[in-house]
Amino acid sequence: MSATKRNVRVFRYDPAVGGDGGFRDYTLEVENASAMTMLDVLLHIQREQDPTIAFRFACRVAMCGSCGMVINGRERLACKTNVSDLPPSEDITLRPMNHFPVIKDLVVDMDPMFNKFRETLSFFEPKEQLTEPARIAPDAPEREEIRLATDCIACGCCVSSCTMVDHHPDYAGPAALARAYALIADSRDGLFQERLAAALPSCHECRTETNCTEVCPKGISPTRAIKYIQRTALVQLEVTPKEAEVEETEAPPARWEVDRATFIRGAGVAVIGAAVAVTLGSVAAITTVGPTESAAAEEWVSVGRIADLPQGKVTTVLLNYEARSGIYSQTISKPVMISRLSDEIICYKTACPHLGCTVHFENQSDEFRCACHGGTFDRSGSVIAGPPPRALDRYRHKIEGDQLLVLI
Amino acid sequence: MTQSVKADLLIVGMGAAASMAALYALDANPDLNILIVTKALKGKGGCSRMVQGGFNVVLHPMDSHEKHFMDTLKGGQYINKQDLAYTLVTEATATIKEMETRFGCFFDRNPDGTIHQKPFAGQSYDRTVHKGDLTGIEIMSRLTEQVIKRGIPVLEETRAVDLLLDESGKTVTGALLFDMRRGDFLVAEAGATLVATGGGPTQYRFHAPGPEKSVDGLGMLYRAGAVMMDMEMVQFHPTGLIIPGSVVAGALLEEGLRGAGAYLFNGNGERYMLNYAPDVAERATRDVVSRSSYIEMTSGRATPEGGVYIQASHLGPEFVLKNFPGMAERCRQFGYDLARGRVPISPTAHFVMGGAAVDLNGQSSLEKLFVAGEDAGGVHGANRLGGNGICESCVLGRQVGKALSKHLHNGNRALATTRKDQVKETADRLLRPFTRDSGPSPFDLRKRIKEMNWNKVGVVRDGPHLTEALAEIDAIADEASRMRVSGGRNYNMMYTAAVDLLSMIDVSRMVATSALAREETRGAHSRSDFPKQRDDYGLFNSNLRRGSDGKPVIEKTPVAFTRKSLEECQNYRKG
Amino acid sequence: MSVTEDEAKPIQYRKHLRWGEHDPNRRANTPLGMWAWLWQRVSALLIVVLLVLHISLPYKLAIQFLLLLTVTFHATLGLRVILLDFNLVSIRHHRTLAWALPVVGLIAIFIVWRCIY
Repeated sequence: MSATKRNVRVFRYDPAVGGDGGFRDYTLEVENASAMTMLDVLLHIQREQDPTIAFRFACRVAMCGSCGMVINGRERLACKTNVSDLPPSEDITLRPMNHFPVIKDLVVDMDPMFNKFRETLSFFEPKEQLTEPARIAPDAPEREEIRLATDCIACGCCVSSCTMVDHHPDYAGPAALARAYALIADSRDGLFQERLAAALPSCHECRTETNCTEVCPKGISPTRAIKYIQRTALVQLEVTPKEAEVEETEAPPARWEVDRATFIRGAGVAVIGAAVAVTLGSVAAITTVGPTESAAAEEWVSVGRIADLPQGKVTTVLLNYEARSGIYSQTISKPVMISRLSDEIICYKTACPHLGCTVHFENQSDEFRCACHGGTFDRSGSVIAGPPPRALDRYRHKIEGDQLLVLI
Repeated sequence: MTQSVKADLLIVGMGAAASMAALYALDANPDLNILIVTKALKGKGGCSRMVQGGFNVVLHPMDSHEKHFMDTLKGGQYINKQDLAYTLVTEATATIKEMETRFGCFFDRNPDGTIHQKPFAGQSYDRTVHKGDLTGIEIMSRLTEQVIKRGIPVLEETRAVDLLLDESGKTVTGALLFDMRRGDFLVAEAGATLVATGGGPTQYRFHAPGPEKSVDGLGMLYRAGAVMMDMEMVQFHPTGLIIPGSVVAGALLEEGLRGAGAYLFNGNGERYMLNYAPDVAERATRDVVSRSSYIEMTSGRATPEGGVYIQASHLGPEFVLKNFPGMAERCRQFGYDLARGRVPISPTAHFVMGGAAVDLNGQSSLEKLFVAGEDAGGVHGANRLGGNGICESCVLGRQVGKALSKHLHNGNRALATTRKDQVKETADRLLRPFTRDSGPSPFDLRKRIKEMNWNKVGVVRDGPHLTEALAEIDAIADEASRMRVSGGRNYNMMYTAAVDLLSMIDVSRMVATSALAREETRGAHSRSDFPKQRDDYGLFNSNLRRGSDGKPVIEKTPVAFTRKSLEECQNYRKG
Repeated sequence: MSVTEDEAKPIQYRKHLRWGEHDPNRRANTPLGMWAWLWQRVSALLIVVLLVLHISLPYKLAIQFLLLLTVTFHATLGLRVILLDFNLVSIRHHRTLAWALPVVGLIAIFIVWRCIY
């Protein structure tokens, strides 16, 4: 293989100088185009021509997602792209990813993306305190659904390719939504409703451009993830937020109001969409979105015998019940923390009013604690410490005979 | 003035060990003020993420901790710290379950929904938990997510350059950090400091870990005066890709290929493993295959690419593509056809078994200094089993995290006072490369030390070469003290290479010194002048610390057979 | 020289690059899905213009034909989004949808038109 000369254009920005930055051209002898990655191109330039050039890499085998950049007009990993992957007639053009502040040359600050992960609650929160891993068959539909999405390396290519990220500051972006999706589909996770509510408004920003799907180096489709969240919300999101059932008078946080409005708008759009689709003679399957608007009815569920609840203790009970919504029914299991002090019984929700993590009762300190951000509540549910905006939410309960029932 | 930050717990590194320690320390003690600093982005650096194989753990009733323990000792050729290895195997079971139930990892399943475990070399039972061949991504993504969830502050692209000590030199007060983006130092002082940067022996020509790693933790522990053990034990993986001129060179082809029956050929087209290990041939352990390949390569029987060939095509192209899609893809990217042709490979530096001597809580020989993960030594002995690496990081990271929360809870949060001039002295010294008008380039020196280590402190060593190596390390160190770095201070990669080099020099010196002192072949350490394992001589740990002249001082301490006797170890799985 | 004298300056990040900014190869690499989105917007505007023309200048065959063509084009691209929204077609085929639906729609309309006139 004979060496060929390639012109390499690298975007340069020096933070000590500031300004707009721009391309600088280098000429490189390429010995073997099919065995030279973009990382090698940059390293060669750095070692032989210009040691001040800055780029980022770590593992160099497409596992860490540090070397995402725009290579000839498309987001790619530098370690995964060879010179031979680009047309020989074109210059090699290397430029930092879109939508991330540029630190220097090709190096960007990826914190905006990590912050979006936090906003969409894109982290696992166990539904219940298990000691054994959940038994889930490898071909279970939920795992088949998200099989690819769990391989995300957070390289940011999708975020850079999505034009909508720049137009809607509140948009969570494809990476965070793809993760939210994987968690929403994960039956072990306990923040289903909260995450769905947090992710849904962002999903409406998607314009189905499929840029993210095109560029993902791991073959994940955030577009598909976003659509999944929307479909799930259509049939699963409670139209009346659960806060409405709370006996306390405190107003729910503003976020919910927004979400509800957005949801109803979203549902409206979907209904129109469905109607159009039906007119066009599309498959009857679409009609299944019909019963969307029927909210899940409230229901009294038995917790068990009152006598079984130890005096003075807080007992966590896992409720299993069948919930019906339109033509759907599903088995739901929901934990309830029941505090029994002499004759007073209070049934608390386990979701922290801050971000919805699971709250546990600690016997030694006689307090409820949330592990996420250290929210602490006293026996009556009032906030003692930490960020929660209000007291622990409660379920309404009643006593029938020797049975305790809660309104779910 | 140099900026400073204070914390209860300073964690250096953000791989599996560091993240697990942070999570467990915080969950046990939510008001703990933790600061994580990492040389890379959140959760993106380190070797944990690059784990392909999996995590050894006893889950099946037919398996037992006893067996895992004995396998680990057998792999380590009896010089493991037995108590540490025992903690590793017994706590691994709870750890993997908690990673599933608390942090949301999801590993591959059996058809009945229980966790699948695959076979790995050197194990008496199939006990490697995995997620496809990308186990590290699953573990690191989930742990990073949990760190973000808890809002633990992380300083990205901020590397620790040295540990800070008090006047007595016995207590660690924190670390001197270098913010690579700003190009400036930052003093971090903490009630306890955990070093968990991972090793990553990139000071060799071929290395499996990413080139961003540079044995920083080991270097700073040594410079701070911590006792280091078994530094001669550097594992070489037998199948690293050769890609001339590419930084990807050294990246692994997974062990499963040899397990499945792939052949190795030298430059003359001979299946040389039949000469070295007639019974098992290519299925021999990592150390044996690496050594054999290295001998072939240095005896004039190398391939034109300078290595040996691996061939899997006789297993059938369909079989290869179905079972090793990731590996086939990795080869294809560089024009090699794993399914139908031969691929040039070489042994590649993979893992440092040695590290700081620690107790079961990760406490090192210095006060307020804790170490976990690859930076800690002793648990793997002379050789690490495949699948015990990420296991060590997670399990011992968890143990240290729990221990730290207790340690800091018991009124130990007070900050010690750093020696008056340490920060200024170190910062002045480290910034000099920026101010020189001429001097050697760190890139050139780095290349030189890699070649030197490969040729003289590599897979097979001998006395004369090791002596030469020590002299050459001194020469490189001398040149390194005159290095010049061009360009500004912000995100200067040449400067990063210069600081990396300083750690590599210290670690190379430790490895060569320890290797010279162990006059036998044991596990990953082979000496051509002492080709036999000598159980009447070699059952010691090489404890090494920095002497007053800056050179390592070595002290051999006999292995403590606290749980299993030598005979039990020797007789285990014999025939 | 001491550290304090040579204090590194605070670092000034560059504002994020926008899609297409400093990106000479972007347009040639724009994926089909993006074009589908863009052309649907463009055709919406065209429909507005043609509708106005159609109402103000009734029974002009050419305008009617163009309107029908544009509406069909717009509708088929809308159908693409619906099919993807409800996962009725796997996202793997999104590129096929983006060109095949408009092509099929336009051919169908052309045939219908020929049958009528």
